[in-house]
Amino acid sequence: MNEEQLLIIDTAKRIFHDRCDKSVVDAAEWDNEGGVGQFPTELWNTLEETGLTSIGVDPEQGGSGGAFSDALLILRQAGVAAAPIPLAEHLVALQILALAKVEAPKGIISVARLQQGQLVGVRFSEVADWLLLVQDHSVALLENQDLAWQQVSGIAGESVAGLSAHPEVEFFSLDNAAETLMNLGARARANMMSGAMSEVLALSVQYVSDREQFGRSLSKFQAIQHQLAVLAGEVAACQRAADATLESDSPLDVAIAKSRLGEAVTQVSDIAHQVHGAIGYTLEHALNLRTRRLWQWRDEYGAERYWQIQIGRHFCDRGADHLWGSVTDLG
Amino acid sequence: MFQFEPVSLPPEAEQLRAEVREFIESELADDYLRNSDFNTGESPELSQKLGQKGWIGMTWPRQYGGAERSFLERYVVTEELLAGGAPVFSHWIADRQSGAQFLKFGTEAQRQEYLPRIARGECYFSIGMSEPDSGSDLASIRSNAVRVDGGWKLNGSKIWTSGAQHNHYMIALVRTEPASENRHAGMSQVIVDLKDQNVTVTGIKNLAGNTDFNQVFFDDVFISDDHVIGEAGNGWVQVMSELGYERSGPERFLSAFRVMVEFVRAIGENPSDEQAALIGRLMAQMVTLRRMSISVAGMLQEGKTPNTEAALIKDVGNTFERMVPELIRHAAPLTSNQRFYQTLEQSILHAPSFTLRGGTREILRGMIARGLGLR
Repeated sequence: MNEEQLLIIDTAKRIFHDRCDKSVVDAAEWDNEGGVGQFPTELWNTLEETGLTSIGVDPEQGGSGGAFSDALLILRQAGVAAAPIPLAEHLVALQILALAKVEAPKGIISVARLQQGQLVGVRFSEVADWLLLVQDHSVALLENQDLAWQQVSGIAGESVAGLSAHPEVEFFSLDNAAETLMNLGARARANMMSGAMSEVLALSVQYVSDREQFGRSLSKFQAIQHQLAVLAGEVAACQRAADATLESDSPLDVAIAKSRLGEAVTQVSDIAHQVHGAIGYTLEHALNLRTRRLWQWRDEYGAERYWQIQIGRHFCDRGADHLWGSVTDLG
Repeated sequence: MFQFEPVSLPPEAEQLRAEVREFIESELADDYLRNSDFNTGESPELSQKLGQKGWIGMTWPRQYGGAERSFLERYVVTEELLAGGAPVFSHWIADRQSGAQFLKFGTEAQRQEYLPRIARGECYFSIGMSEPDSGSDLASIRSNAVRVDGGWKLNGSKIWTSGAQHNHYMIALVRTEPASENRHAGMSQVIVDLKDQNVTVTGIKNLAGNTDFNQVFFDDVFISDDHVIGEAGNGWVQVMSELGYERSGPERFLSAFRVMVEFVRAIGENPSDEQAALIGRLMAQMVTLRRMSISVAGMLQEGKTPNTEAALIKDVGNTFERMVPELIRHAAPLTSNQRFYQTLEQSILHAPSFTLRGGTREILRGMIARGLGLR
């Protein structure tokens, strides 16, 4: 990490620490009994004022400069904090708009993949001012006004919405727009997952150190120590896989990261919940704010199998005798 | 909590890679059953050729036969040899960790005596740690050396000693003082000549029917003072300093790599989605492990002692390499390719050793837990 990156991480950490504590995340929770969360406006405004909601876009295009990898560093901190905001969607949308040479509108932008005229799995439709529609090779901006969203609470406790028909909009051509969305989205989710996992590990280490049973701290039991060692191994591997997407946007590195992180979620959430006992299973405890997001994020922008098939075909195409060479080519 | 900073391999390492790869292809016969397990297959002939190429003891000073190249360059050579499935065990231990012990703790005379021969691929070492009653609990060893005129007299035995029947020497961890309250005190590292008439090497067959490990008996073996490495009594600290080298390398996750190669050959260019997804899953793990392992090579280059990071790579890596044959057999196509089955079977038979050798899974997890501050 260079100095500039460390400064970005530091700034993001401070903002999430000050404006995104557990009460803020709790208040933003949706549920499936009609509970609509309260959007953390103050958090979003602070991020906006600091320029973090437009990072990765050139100042000439209205952004605050930097690269998308800087955006990923911020998203990692958003993952640590379980921030209930459409930061990933917004930052990804800005990237795509810049590529399409379309001026970004004011306000919050979410993204949606348009498939057979339908929008599904749209995040944060209740707060987005705009929606970036993405088709295979074109994109469009849709103002989010008077649309008949069908909104439900996703596994993360954030809204997930669908729309069966949308008003006429003008599409701008952008080669491989849908593929670009998957790439950027997977990089965003991988880094958010990496952040959330590191916090899951920290919470678990803290909990087993504090909690006493049978007259000693849980951390003194070998059965607990070994589970946490496995957890730490997975989290370390995931961080390294996510790091690779900071340096590289190659489809293969992105696929490897999303696949590796998605696969780890099973074990990471299993161990963290097991060592936390019943308290970790409550809505009140902070653990579930991360694990529920991990369960949501692993399935967005391609679950493991989607990316694994792509990785597998890449290597099989090159053949057995070039299998190793294809690994070292990746660097 | 643990940091594996991204490290890029320098251009000279990539140049070297091409040379090593070409060399392996020219050396291995078409019908040779390649195996990526470092412990499987020794060839003094190949080791000597590698020595001539300057690919053993690469990071050592030139005055001792080394090439003064970086740990990253050494990393490339080791991973190419393993991925290519070459028989590398003869020189492996000497190159990986014995030489480092001489450089760090040995006398000038010891360095001159052993390092050039190791670097030429002519002198092989075994590890002398485990004993019949001391496996993971290394500090409980009982082999002991008592002071005699001009040196020490060694009695006891070591076990699970890979290659002792072929190798020239063992660096043995032995008690040079009686056990005391401080379990880690009073041990020393000594050089044992495996051809000494008072040393007996008895082979032990593993479950695959191969005799690659042994029990080694010491019966009044004379260890002259110049065969003690470092300070007498400092053995525990010295042994611990070997672990970063021993545990972080590509041999901790590549052992089953040839199974993946033969699987890809068997499924061809148009695999089913299931087969492609399996290769994708395994590759996502392997590529990530490789990058972590390169990060540790970078730490070694900076002179750090990344023991916990090495333990973590070994644990995650061993879990991966044990999973490879188990998952591949589920997705295996019907094939008449005998090589696929032979490679898979070899891997299944040797897989139990992956999580035992060089520190068991349980010891590694204990170290990682300590790194997390839990113990």
